[in-house]
Amino acid sequence: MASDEECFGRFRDGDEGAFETLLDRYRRPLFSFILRMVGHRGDAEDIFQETFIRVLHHRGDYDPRRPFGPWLYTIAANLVRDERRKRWRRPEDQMPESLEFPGAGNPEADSMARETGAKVDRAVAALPAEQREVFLLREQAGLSFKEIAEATGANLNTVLGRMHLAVKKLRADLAHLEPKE
Amino acid sequence: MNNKQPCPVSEADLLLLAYGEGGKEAAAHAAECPRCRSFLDEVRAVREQAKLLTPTEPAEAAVNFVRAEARKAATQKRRPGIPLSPAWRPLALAATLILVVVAAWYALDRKPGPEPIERAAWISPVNLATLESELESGLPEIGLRGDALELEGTETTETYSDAAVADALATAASLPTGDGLEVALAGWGFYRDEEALDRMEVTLAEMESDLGITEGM
Repeated sequence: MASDEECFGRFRDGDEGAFETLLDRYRRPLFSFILRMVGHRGDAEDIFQETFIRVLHHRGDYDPRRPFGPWLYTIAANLVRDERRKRWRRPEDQMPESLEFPGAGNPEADSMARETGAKVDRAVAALPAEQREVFLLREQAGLSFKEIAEATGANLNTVLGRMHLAVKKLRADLAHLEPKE
Repeated sequence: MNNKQPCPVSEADLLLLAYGEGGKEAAAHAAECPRCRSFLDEVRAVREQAKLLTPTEPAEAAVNFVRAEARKAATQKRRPGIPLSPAWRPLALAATLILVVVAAWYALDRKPGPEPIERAAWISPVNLATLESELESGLPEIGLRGDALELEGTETTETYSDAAVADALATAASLPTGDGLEVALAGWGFYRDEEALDRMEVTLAEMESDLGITEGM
């Protein structure tokens, strides 16, 4: 299976199918990350599209020696931050109180798993944005802490500090979901 | 992380360990320290719960929009050639600016000659802002093109497009020694009239020296 970097290189050489492979690989995890960060499906879809538009527009700047995934998530994370800043300036358009949870209504999961998943989703949604960003980039996007530091512009210790706080809060919020011994 | 003495590893070290990014030192310590083990267990429990976060599909319309944009990008005519290396961009930009300054100096300071030089003969009406912007953004698709090299030998009086000038500059940056400069000058139309260069009192050698182009570059 071709690596992301190989696929993107082939796309830059005009192979449209190679981009389709990347789109297939990233559409769900990337969209889920964005949706969990902005909490609104319409806004998340706009940012999802804009992320790929920027990838296409800046394809000449991409350095194939660097991993593609972190580059993609860096673009998305920047767009998410822009969106949050816009909302901060417009109080009438703040983050919605009831976020849309990606896991809710997943017909593939059985009802108990769905319910548990929704609780985890709510706990993650309740994290402060900076902690949520680090947590999702590590857990869902699979970026290393060093890559997260690069993507978010924070230093490694700050990233680890945010992750520590996120883990502590999630642990406190989700401990009741542990099976009793 | 025990009660008797401070742990030699921090919680940050333990987080790195829990995610497979930690060193052996943290692992060795955690194996013997109950509190650190407990912290690791907590992180691992959260990691298990995070697996319940199911990914979600974006709307098909959003994906189709991206597909359509990718198709457009893939079918855009690509110019064959070598991309301008980032290391050359400052030189290319500097060369552009020097040429602009020299041209401006000549325009302001030229002495009345026996025969005025037709403007199009030595400077082409390029959009400098566009060219500089292209140079700064990395000239992503500009490379060695046959027509850029041929500029030197042509006798046409047509003016040159931004792309032709940018090509010539890119070519100049990729060629060794003075050839590059000649091609760069060709791209700017300087080549067309050697007398024009004489009247500017600038020789190729001086220009090369100004641009820092030396043997072996």
